[in-house]
Amino acid sequence: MSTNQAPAVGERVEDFTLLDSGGVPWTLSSRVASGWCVLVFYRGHW
Amino acid sequence: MTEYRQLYPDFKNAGIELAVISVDAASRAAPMKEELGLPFAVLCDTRREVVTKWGLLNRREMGGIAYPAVFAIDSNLAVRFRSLDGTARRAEPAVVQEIVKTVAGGVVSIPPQPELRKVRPGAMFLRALLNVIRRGARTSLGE
Repeated sequence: MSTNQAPAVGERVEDFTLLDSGGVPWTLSSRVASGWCVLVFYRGHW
Repeated sequence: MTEYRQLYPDFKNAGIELAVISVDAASRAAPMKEELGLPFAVLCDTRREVVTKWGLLNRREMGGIAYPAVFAIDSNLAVRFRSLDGTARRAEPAVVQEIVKTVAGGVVSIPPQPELRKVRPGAMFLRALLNVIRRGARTSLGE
């Protein structure tokens, strides 16, 4: 696997905005404003 | 995914937001969220912007899908925990939950952690990792 570019512990990530499954914008920085956020990347339907 | 659903109340009680991401379009993500009754956001990276930037794009499958991975991001947008799971195995949600809850429970700074992909995230490993985190916690408190 080639995930060498993945952000490491201690590294800061760039903010991003994605649409959720309901078409509502979801922005990382506003979600971590009051605490941590756990992001789970999954393979998806295939 | 259903495991994360079961653990969601614990995440919430610990003040931790949970979201899942794939390259699926909403037409696939929305039915999944509904069928599984997922209480957290299901994000659609259809343009593969985030999975590419985060180095998680597996180009060899289905025109590019995400490698399974878990990250904990703090309020400074810094990575506090990560697990790169490859294609066959993913971090057990309970392991992730335990680590995050421990770390979020008043620890100011945590030491570098071993990569989960190099070890089996079994009970022994979890205990060892929690010990590392707790030692870091004591150190950061000057004990």
